[in-house]
Amino acid sequence: MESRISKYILTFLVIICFVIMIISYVRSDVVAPAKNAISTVLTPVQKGLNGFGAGINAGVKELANLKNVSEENESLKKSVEELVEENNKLRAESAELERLRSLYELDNSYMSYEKVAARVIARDSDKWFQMFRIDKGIADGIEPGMNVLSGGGLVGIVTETGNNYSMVRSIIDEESAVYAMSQISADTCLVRGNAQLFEEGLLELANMDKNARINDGDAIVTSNLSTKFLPGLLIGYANGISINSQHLSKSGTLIPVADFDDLREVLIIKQLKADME
Amino acid sequence: MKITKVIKRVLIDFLLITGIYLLQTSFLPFLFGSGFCPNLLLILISAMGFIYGSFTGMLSGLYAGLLMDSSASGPFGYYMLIFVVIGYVNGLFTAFYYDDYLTLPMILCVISELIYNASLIFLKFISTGNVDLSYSIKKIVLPEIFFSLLITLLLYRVILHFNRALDYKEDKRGQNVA
Repeated sequence: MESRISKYILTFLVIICFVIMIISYVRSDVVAPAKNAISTVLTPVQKGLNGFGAGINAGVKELANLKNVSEENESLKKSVEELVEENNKLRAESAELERLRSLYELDNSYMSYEKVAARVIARDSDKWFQMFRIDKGIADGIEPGMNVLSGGGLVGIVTETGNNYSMVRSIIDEESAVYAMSQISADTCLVRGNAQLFEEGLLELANMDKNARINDGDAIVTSNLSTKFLPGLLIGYANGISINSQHLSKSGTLIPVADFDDLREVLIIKQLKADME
Repeated sequence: MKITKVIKRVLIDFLLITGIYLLQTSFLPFLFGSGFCPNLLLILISAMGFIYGSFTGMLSGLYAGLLMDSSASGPFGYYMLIFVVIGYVNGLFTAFYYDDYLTLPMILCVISELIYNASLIFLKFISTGNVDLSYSIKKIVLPEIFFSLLITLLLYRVILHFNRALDYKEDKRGQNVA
């Protein structure tokens, strides 16, 4: 008897779930208030918890590091001297670059996009999808489609926003594909997420013309072709470029600049690509 | 069952699920890095279904799924569906539930993991169009099952202890009233 009731309840709940799924698929704004309500309650707790977890992690790492610190200090002192010298040289060059830029009237506006800092407060614990949640949302002016950076490199794109949170799809997600180009030659390629390559900390570099002038070590930046990503954002460096067996195209991998294994803080660029034209 | 007992149990299960969800998404990944893989929420729902039967399993699953859906990118309701089914399936075996018998919960844990991961492979296939099956099984499913089995042994004891303490307290109180 009881098992029959359970069966009815199961059928009922399964139908409800399907109905909700269909509704959310057709009109995502219907379920947004529910998501928003849950997140409004949970976000503060998540903020506290991840800070706590990250704190312990950092503490343990710090203890382990303490041993190497004095050795490192020595070598760092040496490199500081070298860097000071290099810095002087670069300063001189940067002045020259500045002069040349104004000469060519190059647009370097992407350097000065307004950015918002946010903290990563939740991550998918399973590895099927590479999404994460940050603690800034509509209230801070975040909109879907904004580009997300970390450690100087592209990390992903905001896919969904709530009042005090946003979801970000990382570029290492297999759904992600970013139009990119070589910074030097401006030849285009596509940066795709690939779970297998990411085991080794790499992304896939595809859709390169066989004559594309992209070599190992070249900086790969977002291309103007992309409708979602702002042009000129550094993604990483080309690696293992080779011509495919059919001699029609080249392929390779990309070493990302951002550290995806240890994402804590990210920067969100408030300029949308769609608004630029 | 007395109404206060029901309310108390619902409240405790509610807090337990919320706590485990927060632990799994916001605490452990930051503590251990992204290499952390046992699925605590799944283990909890599996255990609840098994201990209390399909009804509790399904309701717990519905709530756990709601939490997961609130932070997932796929169709809203997908995780609810998975967890409701897992709660129900585990509840089917509640008649064979004995306090100190751990083989069946471990088998059920594996079954639950298989349902869960098969559903996600399906979702991933729909959204991306291709899934490298042998790689996914080797690198995602098997490690997750392994760690989940370990945690099942542990968490199972904790839940059991928790509920036994609650039962004991309630029984005692009942006797006093009588």
